[in-house]
Amino acid sequence: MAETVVFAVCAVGAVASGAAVFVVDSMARATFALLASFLLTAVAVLLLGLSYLGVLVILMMVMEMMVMAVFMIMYMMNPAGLMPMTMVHNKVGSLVVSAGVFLLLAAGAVLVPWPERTGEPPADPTRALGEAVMGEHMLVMMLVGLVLFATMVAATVLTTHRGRYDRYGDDLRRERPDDPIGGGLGR
Amino acid sequence: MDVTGWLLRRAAPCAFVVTAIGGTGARLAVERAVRERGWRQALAPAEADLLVVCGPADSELDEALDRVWGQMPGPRARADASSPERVVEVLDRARADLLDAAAQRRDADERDRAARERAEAAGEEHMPGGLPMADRGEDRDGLALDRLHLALGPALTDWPAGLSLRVVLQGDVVQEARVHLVGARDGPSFWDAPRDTSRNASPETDRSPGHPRTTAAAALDAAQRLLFVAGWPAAALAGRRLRDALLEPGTGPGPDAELRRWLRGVRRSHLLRWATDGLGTVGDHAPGELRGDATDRWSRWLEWIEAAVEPDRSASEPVPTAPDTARAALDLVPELVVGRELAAARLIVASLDPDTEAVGAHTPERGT
Amino acid sequence: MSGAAPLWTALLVPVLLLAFGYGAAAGTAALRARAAGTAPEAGLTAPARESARLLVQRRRTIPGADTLLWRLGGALVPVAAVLAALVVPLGPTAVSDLSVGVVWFNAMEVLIWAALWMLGWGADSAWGLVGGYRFLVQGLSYELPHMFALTTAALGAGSLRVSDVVAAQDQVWFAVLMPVAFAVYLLSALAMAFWGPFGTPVGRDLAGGAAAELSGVDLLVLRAGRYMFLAVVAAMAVPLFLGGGAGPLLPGWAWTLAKTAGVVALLVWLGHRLPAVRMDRFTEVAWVVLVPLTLVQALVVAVFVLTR
Repeated sequence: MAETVVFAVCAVGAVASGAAVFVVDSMARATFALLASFLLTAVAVLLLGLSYLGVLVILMMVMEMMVMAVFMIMYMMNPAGLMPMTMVHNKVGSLVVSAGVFLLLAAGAVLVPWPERTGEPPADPTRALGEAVMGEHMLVMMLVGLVLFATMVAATVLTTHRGRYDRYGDDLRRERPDDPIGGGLGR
Repeated sequence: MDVTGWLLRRAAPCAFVVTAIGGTGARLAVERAVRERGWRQALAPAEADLLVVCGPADSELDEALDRVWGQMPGPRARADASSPERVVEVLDRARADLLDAAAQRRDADERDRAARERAEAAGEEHMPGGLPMADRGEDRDGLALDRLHLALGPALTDWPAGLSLRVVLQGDVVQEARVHLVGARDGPSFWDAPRDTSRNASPETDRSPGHPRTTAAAALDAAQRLLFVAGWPAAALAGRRLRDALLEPGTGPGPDAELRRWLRGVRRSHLLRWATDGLGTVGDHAPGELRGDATDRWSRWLEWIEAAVEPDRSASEPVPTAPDTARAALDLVPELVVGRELAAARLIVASLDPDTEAVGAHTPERGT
Repeated sequence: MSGAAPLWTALLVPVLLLAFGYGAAAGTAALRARAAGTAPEAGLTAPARESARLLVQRRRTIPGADTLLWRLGGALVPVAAVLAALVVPLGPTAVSDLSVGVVWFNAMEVLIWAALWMLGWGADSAWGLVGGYRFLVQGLSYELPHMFALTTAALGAGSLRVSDVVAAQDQVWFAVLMPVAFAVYLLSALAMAFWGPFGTPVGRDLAGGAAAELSGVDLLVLRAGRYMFLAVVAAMAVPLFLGGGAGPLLPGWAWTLAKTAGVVALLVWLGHRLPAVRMDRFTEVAWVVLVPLTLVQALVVAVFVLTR
C-alpha cells in the first residue's frame, strides 16, 4: 500500500516536473525541473528493489545536471535576473509530437500482454548487475568505455585551438609552457 | 518575555568596515577595538549589522556608503570614526543603537513602507528587477560571451582605501580594468606622517616615520591584508595583533619572539607560495619594491618586518610608502589584472598594495 | 553486529550532527581568538552568540532574485548532511544499513553541488555567481579522487554495505591498509564541506561568494548546514577507514563518537593552519596527480584482496 502511494506520488511528480521544464521561463529553473524529474524517477527505480541503480541515478543525474547547467548558462553573467525566456520553439509541432510519442509509449505499456514472471529475482541485484556487466560482456563494456573516453578526449583536443607548439614553442624546447592561466604543476 | 532584546544583548556585533583615503589611523584603531572585543568583521554588507566608516567624509564615497547602508538587513547602526581617538566612543554608541530594539523596529517599518511605495511607483518593468542586462563581447577564446560591469571597491574588505577598480568580467575573468580613486586628497600617508613621540622618545619606543618598527608595522598591515585575501584568517589575525603591538607606544621588545614565530610560519607555507607564485609579474622598469611576482613582493615585506626585530640586519630597501612607488603600483594594477580571474586579481592588488594616501591627488593613467 | 535502528533514531541524527558541528565551529572560533590575542574561552560561546545575532537579523529581499532556487539552495545543505548521515553507523547500528550505503553517501553529498550553485545563482549577485561556479570547479576536481577513495574502501571489503566495510576491518584498519585513499578522503572532506583551505566558494576575496547576499536565518541555516556537513564527512571516515566502533573497554557507540571527534579536530586544525587552495591550481593536481594515485591505490588493494 505504502509502496503504491510512494510510486503514485513520484510518477505524477516526475511527469509534472518534466512538463515544468517547458513551462518555466528561466534556464536555471528548467535545469532543476529536469533534475527533479530524474530524481523522482530514481525513487521509482528504488521501489523496484534495484537500490544500486536507483542511487546511481541520483548521483549521476545531480552531477550531470550541474555540468549541464555550467554549459547552458556558462558565462551568462546575468545572475538570476535573466530575462524571462521561453523554453520551447515551434510550440504546436512539438506539442503534437510529444503527445503522440507519450500516447504511443503509454499504449504500449498498457496494451502489450506482458509475460508472466518465471524466474526468481536475484538475492543481490547489485552483484547480479556486476556479473552481467563484467562477466561475459566484459570485452564489450571495456571497449564501449574506451570508445567513450577516446571520444571525449578527441572532442576536447579538437575544440582547443592551442596546441603543443603554442605552449612549448615551435621546436618544443620551452621548459615551462606559455599558458594564459598556468596550472598548479607548472608543466 | 522580550526574546528579541534578550538575543540582541547576547549577540556579538558584526562590523562592515569601509576606509576612506586618510582613514588608515582610524581603521587601525577600529580593527584593534573589534578584535579585542571579540566582534567579527563582515565580508559583505548583507551579513553586517554595523557600518563603520573610517576617515574623513567624501561626497563620492557617501554614495557608495548609502548603497551599503541600504543593503544591510537590519538591525543596523552606523559609526563614523573620523579620527582614531574617537573610535571607542563611536563604537560604544553604535552598539547602544543596535540594542535599542524600539528604534530598530521603527527603522525596519520605515524601510518596508518605503520599499512598498517604490514597488507601487515602479509598476510594470521591462527588465527583471529593473536591472540592465549584460551585453556581449568576444572572450579570449574568441567566443561571444556576456560581459558584466563590476566595480571592486571602495566598499570592499581587505582592499586599499578609496580604490575603485572598474572591471568588465566574462565568467570570473577580468577583460578590462580601470582604476579610479574615490576621495583622493593631498596629504601625507599615515605611515609617513609625523607622530607625537614626545612622551617616550627613547630609541626603543620611537615610532616616527622611517623607523624600522614603523616600516615593519606598515609591512605587517599589508601582509595581513594579503593573508586575508589568500584565505588564511588565522595568520592574518595574528598579523594584525602583532602590527598593533608594534605600533603601541611604550612597549619594548615584547612581541619580538612571537613576531619571529609568525614570520617563520608564513615563510614556510608552501601552499601560500603556490597560490601567489607567478602572479602579477613586474619587470625591472618598476620601482624595486614592486619587482618580481606576488610571492617576491610579500617575501620583501617579511624582510622589512624581520629588520625591525633583528637590529643587526639593516633594511637596505627604501621606505615602502614613497609616493612614486604608490603611484607606480596604482598604474600597474590594470595591466596586471586583465586576463586573470577574480581570485588572482585580488591577490595581485593585495600584493601591490598601493598606498592610496601617499599618491595625493594623483590621477591614475587610464587602464586598458 | 550490524543492524538498522528503530525509526525514531533518525531524530537523533540532526542532533548529533549539530553537536559535532557546533564543536567544530567553537574550536575554529577558539583558535581564531587565540590568534587574535583574546581569550580562547570566548570562542566556545562565539557560535552561539553569532546564532543569536543571525536570529534577530532580518531576511533580505533582492530585486531580480530567483527566490525559489535561492532559498532552496540554502535549505538543501543541512538536509543533504542529514540524509548522508542516515547510513553512518553509531557503534554497530545505523538508521538504515543500505546494501549500497557507500553509494548513497556519495549521492547525498553530491547534492551540495546543486545547493551551492542555486545559492549563488539565485541571489542575483556577481559575487554569488562566481562563488557558485567556483564550487562546481572544486567539485569536478575533488569528486573523482574522492569516488576512487570510496571505491577502494568498498573494494577492500568486497561490499558496498557500510557495516560490511566495518566488519572487514577487524584485523587492520583501512587507514593503514590504504593510506592514500584515507588521505584523499580527508582532503575531499574539506573540499565538499567547502571549508578551511577549500572555502573559496564562500571566500573572503569574493566578499562571501555564494553566501554574499545571505542574511539572518538564511545565513544561519547555511553556516549550520556547512558545519553539519563537515561533521558527517568526518563521521563517515570512521566506518570507512578507522574501524568503526571497534576498540577496547568502551562500547561501540562511544568509540564511534570519540573517533569522529578526533577526525573533526584534525580537520579544524588543518583549516586553521592552511591558507586557501586556489582552484585553478588545484584542478591540475587533482587530475594529474590524485586520480592516478588513487587508481594505483585501488589496484594495490584489489591485488591484495585477490591474493589474501
